[in-house]
Amino acid sequence: MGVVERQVADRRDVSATVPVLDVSDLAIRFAAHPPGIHVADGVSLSVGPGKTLCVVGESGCGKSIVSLAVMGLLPKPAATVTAGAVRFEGRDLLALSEHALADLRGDRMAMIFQEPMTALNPAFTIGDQIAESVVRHRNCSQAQGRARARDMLERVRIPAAATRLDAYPHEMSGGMRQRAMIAMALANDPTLLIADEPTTALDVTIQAQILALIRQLQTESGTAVVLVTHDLGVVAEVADEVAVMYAGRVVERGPVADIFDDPQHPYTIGLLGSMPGLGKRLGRLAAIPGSVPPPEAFSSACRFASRCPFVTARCTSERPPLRALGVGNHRVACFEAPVETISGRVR
Amino acid sequence: MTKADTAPEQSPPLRPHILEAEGIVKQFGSSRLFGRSDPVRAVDGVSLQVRKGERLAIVGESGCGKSTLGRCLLRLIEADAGSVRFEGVDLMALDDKAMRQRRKALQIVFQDPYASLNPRHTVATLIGEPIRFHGIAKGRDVADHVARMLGLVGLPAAYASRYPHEFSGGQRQRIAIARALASGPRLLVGDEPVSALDVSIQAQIINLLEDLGSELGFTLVLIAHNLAVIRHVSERVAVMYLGEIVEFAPADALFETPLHPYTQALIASAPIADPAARRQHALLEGDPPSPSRPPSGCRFHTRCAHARARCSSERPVSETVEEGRSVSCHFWREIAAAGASAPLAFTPSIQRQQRIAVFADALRQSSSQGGSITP
Repeated sequence: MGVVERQVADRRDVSATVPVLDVSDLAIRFAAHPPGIHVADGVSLSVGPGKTLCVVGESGCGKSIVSLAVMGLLPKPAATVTAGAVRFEGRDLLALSEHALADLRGDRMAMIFQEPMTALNPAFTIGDQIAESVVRHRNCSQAQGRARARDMLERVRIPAAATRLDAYPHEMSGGMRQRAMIAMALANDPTLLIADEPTTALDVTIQAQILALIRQLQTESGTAVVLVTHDLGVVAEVADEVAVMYAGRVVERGPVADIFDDPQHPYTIGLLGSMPGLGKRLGRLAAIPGSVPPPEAFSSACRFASRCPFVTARCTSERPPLRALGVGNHRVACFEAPVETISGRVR
Repeated sequence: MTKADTAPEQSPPLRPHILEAEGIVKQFGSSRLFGRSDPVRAVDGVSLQVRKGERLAIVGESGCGKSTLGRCLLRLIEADAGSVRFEGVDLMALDDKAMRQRRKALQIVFQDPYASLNPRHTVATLIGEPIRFHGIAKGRDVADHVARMLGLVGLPAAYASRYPHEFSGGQRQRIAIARALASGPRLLVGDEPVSALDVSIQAQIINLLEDLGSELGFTLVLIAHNLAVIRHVSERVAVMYLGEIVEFAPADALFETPLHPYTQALIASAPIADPAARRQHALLEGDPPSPSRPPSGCRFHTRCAHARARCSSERPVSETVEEGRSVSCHFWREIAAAGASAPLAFTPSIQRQQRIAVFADALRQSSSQGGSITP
């Protein structure tokens, strides 16, 4: 066991009962928007060790801005956190100094992005970039950092890892670059990995490879993963827990089987109805009419009301709380759910 | 059941061909400036027949040549070899003027509605241009025709005076469709028309294309990488890999019993929106090779689990499996006999199907009560 591995191994004994990441009632606003408009509005999420939470939603739902806030990477001063807490292994990240955050990032928590070319520096070799993060956080020698980089490239199954260390990002294919970025993110064995649309730019056969890789590395290392995506297919493949976001809010949350087999929020139902399947055609798609409102038009009541076929007067005047359903962790922010009981009621 | 549900069943095999492409080849590059001389053979000897009124899909991953093929079919770029006959007329033989007139019947919708609409023109100009150019209407009638086209794609006539930047991505794609359909084309090519859109908007545009197809009766050639979209929309599918069609089949047959190992891998890689269907993927190893240096023999042999010596030396020819179905693989019979592909039959939970049905019913009711939401 080398110096790096031993240090990494020492850091693993985090209590399994505490969530790795616990976001509660997070609110984020952009200075450019009118007062009172929040692009993330009362967002609560949590993920335990070795588990995968998928945050799913369409453009403008706030899923990426929440993940940036967790990493302390919100664009400043354009965006600010106005309320709520982000706890990482019990520590309040929002209270940490920039310096303390920089110590955590790339070490205990890491992030991968949709487009590896924007995250990798084109002027440095893959090996140098991975080694840099190891040397920075492990306080080890260049040679040890480089050895760790080679190990990581092997772990993410890049062929001929030893020679690939000296390759520049442009010399690799999109799938290989995504593997290199994963190698860099996991080099210090983080307890939390945030993956923002990690397979969206990839072809379907490469996407399947990368998802399988993330899953396998997670089993080996026990890393908690927050995967941000718009693709319910990807969610079904990898998630333990799911949070569905719409217009800055979590509208439904629960174990993955509940979300797909017992979808409660009309938006979740509409999203599932919008997706064609690979099996025999089940008829016309149940497309949701209209489009996501811009932040300027965000309502303080239910934000899906403008597109919802079940809308009532209450939906346009009052904010539905994220309430629990029966047993377990399944929660929905809708007054009307479950929808099949509505037709019998007086509206 | 709506009108769109009755159309997509298998096309009767005797419908005449509207478009016949034979031996299409298109090469790019061979720039000597940087010392590179290998041209990219984007499309390498593709033949394809499209039947009148059908919905045909061309599927493949990036770099397989599907978009280049689509452009060659419409002669938006000139093929290096091969011929394209549209309604019996050899498009390659037409001079520029005759080709421009012919475009009235051949239109295309692109992936990115942000790039395909001129930002300096109003919607009235954008949709009015093909109407004027092809002499569909003149003078004040043009505005009426524009309004009718907007209505057809579900937009209010008042939008005619606005500019593209005032619209969302889904609305812009509706405008692009209205523009493409304004000259009354008999063939519409959709080059990834929904891939840049969010899931809910994607469904709106798919439904719109299906409705318009049944209403106006145009033939649709859909170029896409999303297998689920293709399964839903199309009747026949051509699968491309590195510039060649490796399998061609009716959609149901292709998805239920894919014969080419690449088609099998492609379908097995596609995520299924049901955690119960989560499976160990039969993963395809490696990246697709560069189209400028395609592998010898069968181009798929470098990634194929069934590859043998013959595959790297001998290029497979397209074999007819049955009427309307062909595959280019030396060993497809053995692979099929060994049962290598047994795609998962997947049906969503009853509760999920019921909720989606309740949702769809409620949508129909709210729109019939006049409470329709502008797309």
